[in-house]
Amino acid sequence: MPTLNRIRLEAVEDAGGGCLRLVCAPASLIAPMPGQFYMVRGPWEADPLLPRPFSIARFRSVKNGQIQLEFLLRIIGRGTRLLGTARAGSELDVLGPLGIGFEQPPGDSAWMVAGGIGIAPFPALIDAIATPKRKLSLLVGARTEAEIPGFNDFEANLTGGVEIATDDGSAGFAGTVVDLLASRLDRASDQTPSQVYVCGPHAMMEAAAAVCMDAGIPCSVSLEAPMGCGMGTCRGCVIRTFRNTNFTICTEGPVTDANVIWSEQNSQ
Amino acid sequence: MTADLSVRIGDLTLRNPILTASGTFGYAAEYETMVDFNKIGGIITKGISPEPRLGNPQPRIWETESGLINAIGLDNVGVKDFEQSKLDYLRKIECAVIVNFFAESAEGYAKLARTLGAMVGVDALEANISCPNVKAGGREFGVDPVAAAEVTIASREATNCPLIVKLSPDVSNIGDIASAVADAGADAVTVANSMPAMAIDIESRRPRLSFGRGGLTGPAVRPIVTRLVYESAQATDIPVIASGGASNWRDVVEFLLAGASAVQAGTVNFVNPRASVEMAEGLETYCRQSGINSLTQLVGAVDMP
Repeated sequence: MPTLNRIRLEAVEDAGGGCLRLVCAPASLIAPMPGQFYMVRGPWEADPLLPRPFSIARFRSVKNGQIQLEFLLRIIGRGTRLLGTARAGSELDVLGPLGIGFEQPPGDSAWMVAGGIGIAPFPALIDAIATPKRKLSLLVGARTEAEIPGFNDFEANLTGGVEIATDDGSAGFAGTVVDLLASRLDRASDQTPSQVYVCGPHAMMEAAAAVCMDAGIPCSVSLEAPMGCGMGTCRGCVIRTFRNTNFTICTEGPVTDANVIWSEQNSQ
Repeated sequence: MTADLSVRIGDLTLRNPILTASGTFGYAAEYETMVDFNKIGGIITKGISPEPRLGNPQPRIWETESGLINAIGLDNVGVKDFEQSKLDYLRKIECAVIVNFFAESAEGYAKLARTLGAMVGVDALEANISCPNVKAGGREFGVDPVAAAEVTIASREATNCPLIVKLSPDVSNIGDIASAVADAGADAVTVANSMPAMAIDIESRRPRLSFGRGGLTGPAVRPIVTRLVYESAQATDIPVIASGGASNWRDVVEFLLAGASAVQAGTVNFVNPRASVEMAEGLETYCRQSGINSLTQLVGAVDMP
């Protein structure tokens, strides 16, 4: 059950690739599941009006059962600018945890595929699913090397390695991260992942889902759309599935199996 | 002494004038952990239609300065699923339950008003004759006094349930519509639905919303709605329910002074899910501290030049 809490911002850190990490002070909160999200708003007046949805990037339990939340953001508009330039010590209203998060992978190998700031929910996911025998890999793409978000602080658990893709070829694989996913699956047919997790722009997730469906690999995606309330009431984030039904991202997602949204037939 | 904040809408008594606006509060269960329903006057459901509706494609919402443009397209579960899956919860909550509804013809309104008005647990109906975001969804009824009266008469004859009619702000004289609807038998009017609006992406040259146009809500529209409430209250004796941008108890007092008998919390529910309760509590404190014993001391008490 979500709660609305006013918490303090402890630090705003450079997270690499033009992204920022909002580190909140520990507070008495309900522990989230990886992949769940919060509606976050500063204590300003009516403009910007709505809170902004952020996946939980990382959380840890500290003393007295308090929870410390971290969010990753890229400044793309007025709301993210105000949050990204907020000073340590300022207050944030956080509503959450909201929505449905990630599930454990069915086997010993899982890949995470991130498009830019789509890396946001993966540190928490990695914390939750890493085991000594599990092989976890991260594929992360951006337009250029300068836009690749940092992953140093959770790289230790990525025992399957990290691969980078850039559209302009300035680092790693030259092409999209979906192209990288497809080529890695071709290369690694003997160690096919038991699960692929994808987060990024909508079209990128649809393309990644098609690649996974072709390969017969379970794919879960973390969806995004303009969101007003986070509680299922404003109906702003509702998308249409291939079955011509509505899918309410904030309450039925944001994480769901790709085959709930896109047809396996169309992926051929 | 506690002020009497109660409000009468037809046969229905609200404990206080704070309602949650249709389309901003789902079917109430969504806010179970956030809102103490004992503290507010009532909730108004998402608009119900004869059949379920999927609504418009993405994108459906676009934020503007202190406002929100939406073109949801009346996405709702339809009357059958409303009765089967939403009503049980609404029967349990301890505030008035007002069901917003719409149809495509006067006969459609009458049929739905009869069905909804007969449901145990439904305390009042709000007829939406003013949604800007569908091709056939009521707005054509809301901009013409004759058509507005026709829909009101049809709904009125179909049920004894208290009937509120939600007006369009996009009219040349809202007083004419309010008095036409009052004469046709409405117990109250809601002033008003969202303000027809538009936003364009200058790079793609396409509208920000898939429907092209949308309806503006939030603090940006509040001064316009204050004027519409004033004009409606001048034109009719039935209660006027203000809806448009109220975010706190000060806004509530302002709407009451303009002539509203009750106030809906709308877009503010997205900003702060507890806003409706905070507005009710703030109003109560204000009345106590100002020596106001009854809302009648505030309603329409603006001192116009």
